[in-house]
Amino acid sequence: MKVSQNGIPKLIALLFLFFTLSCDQTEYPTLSTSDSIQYNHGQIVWHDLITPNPKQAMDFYANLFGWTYKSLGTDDMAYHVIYSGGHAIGGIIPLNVATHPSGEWLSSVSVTDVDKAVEYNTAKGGKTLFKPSNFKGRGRSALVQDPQGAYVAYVHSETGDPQFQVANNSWLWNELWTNDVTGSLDYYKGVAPYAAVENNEEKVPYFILKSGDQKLCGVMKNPVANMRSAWLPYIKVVDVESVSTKAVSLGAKIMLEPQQDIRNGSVAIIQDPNGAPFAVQIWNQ
Amino acid sequence: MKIHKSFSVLVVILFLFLLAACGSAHTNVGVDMRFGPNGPHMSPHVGVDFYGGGRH
Repeated sequence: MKVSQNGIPKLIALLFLFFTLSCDQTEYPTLSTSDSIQYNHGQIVWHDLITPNPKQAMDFYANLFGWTYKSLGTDDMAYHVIYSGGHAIGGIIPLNVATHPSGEWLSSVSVTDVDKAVEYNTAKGGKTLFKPSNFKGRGRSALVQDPQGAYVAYVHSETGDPQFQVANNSWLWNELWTNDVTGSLDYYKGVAPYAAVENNEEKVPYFILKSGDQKLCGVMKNPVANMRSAWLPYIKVVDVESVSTKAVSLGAKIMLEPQQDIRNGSVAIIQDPNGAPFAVQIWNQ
Repeated sequence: MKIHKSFSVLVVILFLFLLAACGSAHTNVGVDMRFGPNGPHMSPHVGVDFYGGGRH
């Protein structure tokens, strides 16, 4: 996500990471705890933080959002499940410091068929970072780089997708920052049954990807120069000012200060101590 | 006549400075060069005029 152009070492690190995860027999948290299996294809159903310093990241997010963790697997390549309000909401995965000096949040999109999604990605000019594999408890998943450069995981859960719900200190929204808006909109309409609706309320074009009446995620022109396309997760908070201030005291950098002329001061964008960007937003609806 | 010519040159120079300032306003979007204990590194930031995101 960071500006550095270390694509090849990053690719190697990611390949190693997912190869390691696929070989173990670790049972990962299910995506849905509902008795009935339902799918909301196109929904972003999971988030993983890849980071060169898991311990520092865990401490940072624990202090900022009160997250707790359960570590799975061996110490070297442990997978740290994130819990918020008693629910598993994501994971933290270590990366080699030498090959990957900065972190990044990865979003997992629910798809009908992971293998077909990967084939589609390849046909559109994307890269497969990790081929489709089965993860015990999770389902089938793959990691790709889309044609515009963003990393994204595709998943077909063995327990169905989680219900739409919003809670403080947990996921609120997801947004694709792309260097090719038209190309990304065209691409993602082939991944899931998305319909793109332009929101004309903002100073820059903003597209909401919907499935039926459900708003699933947003797409906008990448507002950061010289940065490759990437997905940005949003976390719901009660007080964006205090969260931003505390984040800085914990070693984060602010990419966008909360300010009145941007969503009435309800949004801030933060880079965690290991360089992974995320956003926080007040949401009272 | 000589004073008039000098004044014209001054105006042109000021105009060039203005253009340079406008150019800086654009390059201010995106990447900062920051200096820390491990040397300089790039730190991306978001320009106010280039952001319209968040949940609607």
